[in-house]
Amino acid sequence: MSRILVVEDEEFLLRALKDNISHEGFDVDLARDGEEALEKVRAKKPDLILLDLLMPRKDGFAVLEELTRNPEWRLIPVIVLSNLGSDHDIKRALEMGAKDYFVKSQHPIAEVVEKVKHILRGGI
Amino acid sequence: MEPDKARGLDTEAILLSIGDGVIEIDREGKVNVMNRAAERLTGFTAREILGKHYREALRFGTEKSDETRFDFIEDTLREGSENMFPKEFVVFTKKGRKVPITGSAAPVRDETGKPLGVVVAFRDITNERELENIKVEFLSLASHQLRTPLSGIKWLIETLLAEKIGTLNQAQKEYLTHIYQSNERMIKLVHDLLSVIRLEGEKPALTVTNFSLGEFLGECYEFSRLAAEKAGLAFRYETPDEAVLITSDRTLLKAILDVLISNAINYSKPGGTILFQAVREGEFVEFSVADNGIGIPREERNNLFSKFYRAPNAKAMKPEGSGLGLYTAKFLAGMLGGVIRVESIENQGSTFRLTAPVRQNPLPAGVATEVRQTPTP
Repeated sequence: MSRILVVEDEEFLLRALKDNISHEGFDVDLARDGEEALEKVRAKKPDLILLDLLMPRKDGFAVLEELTRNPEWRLIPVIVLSNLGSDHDIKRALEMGAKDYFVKSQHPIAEVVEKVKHILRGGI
Repeated sequence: MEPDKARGLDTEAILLSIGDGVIEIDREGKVNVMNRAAERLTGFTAREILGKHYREALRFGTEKSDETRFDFIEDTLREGSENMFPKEFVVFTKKGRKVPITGSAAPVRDETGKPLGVVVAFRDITNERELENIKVEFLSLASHQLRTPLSGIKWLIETLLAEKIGTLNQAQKEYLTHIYQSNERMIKLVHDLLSVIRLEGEKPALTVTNFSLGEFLGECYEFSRLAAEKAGLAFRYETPDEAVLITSDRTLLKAILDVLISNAINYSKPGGTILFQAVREGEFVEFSVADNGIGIPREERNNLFSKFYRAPNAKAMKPEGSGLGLYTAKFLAGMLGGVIRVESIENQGSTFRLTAPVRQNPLPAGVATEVRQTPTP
């Protein structure tokens, strides 16, 4: 069964994501900041990461950077979920290797779940 | 004292005492007048400047680069046109500090209209620009912070409505749907606000491409077709017969036309018609969106493009509008070198026309590849 790591510092968003993703039968692991996210990746490599950008301790950009630097983690697909919506942030995250970028308030959660399923089926 | 002489003296005294900086440059580019406000603003004394060529005496530029700018003076000298300073304009002081200014260069002419030189008038706007920056930062932060709880409400209600947590009865579903719709309205408002802040702050770079006018019209039409259908409107589009190609920023053009079409849909009654057309006329293309909807009262026309402004009849029909659509459309049209005009009769309908150059000016190097669109899943 695929394992998804959800990285999000807002408890209510974390819960909504967890409920929706586990409802599809995936294993869900949770992290509330960037440091914790990397600890979780180290402990058990996920098949996909949903990553917030603005978080305490270590932000999502720093996490992306560490993921791409590590040859073992480099290929883990990452979907960025953030309310930063400027072209600059979007471009930066995509250039740093994120598979996709969702501005949270602009997309239904079902779309995020669909994207997760799509990528895990081998889509881009 | 002779009256004429007295007047002459006064004029010079007035000129030197004006609160805004004033510099006069003759046709050869030599600085002939520099008033006291200009001295204070630049830190140079008139003695240091007068008689020198303006290029050796003064330096203008913009806040974000170190480039020197004299184009506004040169254009006025060459063409006799009046030129307003571009946004974010600065003058360099004697010590090399940048002072934000606003102002203009205008031709000086004798009684027969013969050009004698250029008068440059400018004013220190340090405080205004600081205030503007604070406003933009505050609004941008506030909007980002608003988005987080709003997306929380959105996703949690979606989860409830999908009955992933448990089944709901009909009334509960309806209540949740109402909450959801209110929240979506709030999200849209925050989104529109952010777009405007971003436009005013960053000025997105143009991405100019060649494309077929007819195909582009079809794309705009398709984008709004369903919404028009849902509103009970007959929506048609017409393209010129020949395969006309235009060179412009397709995304910006579409953003403008989306506003005009969505307004036509929002402010028409069921059974109404909307006609969307484009014609190429020489170096320009004119798009028009004509409806037979509620129209715009005559006295409201002047305010139509102001930020947050909404005509009373529009507000009565669609309370949730933000008043940012036409403001944004006009702003974007300006970036394309275009204009939007409107003809309207209250209760009979409105026609909005966007006229834009078919060919955009060549782009400065390195700006053509900016990413502007949010990727879609």
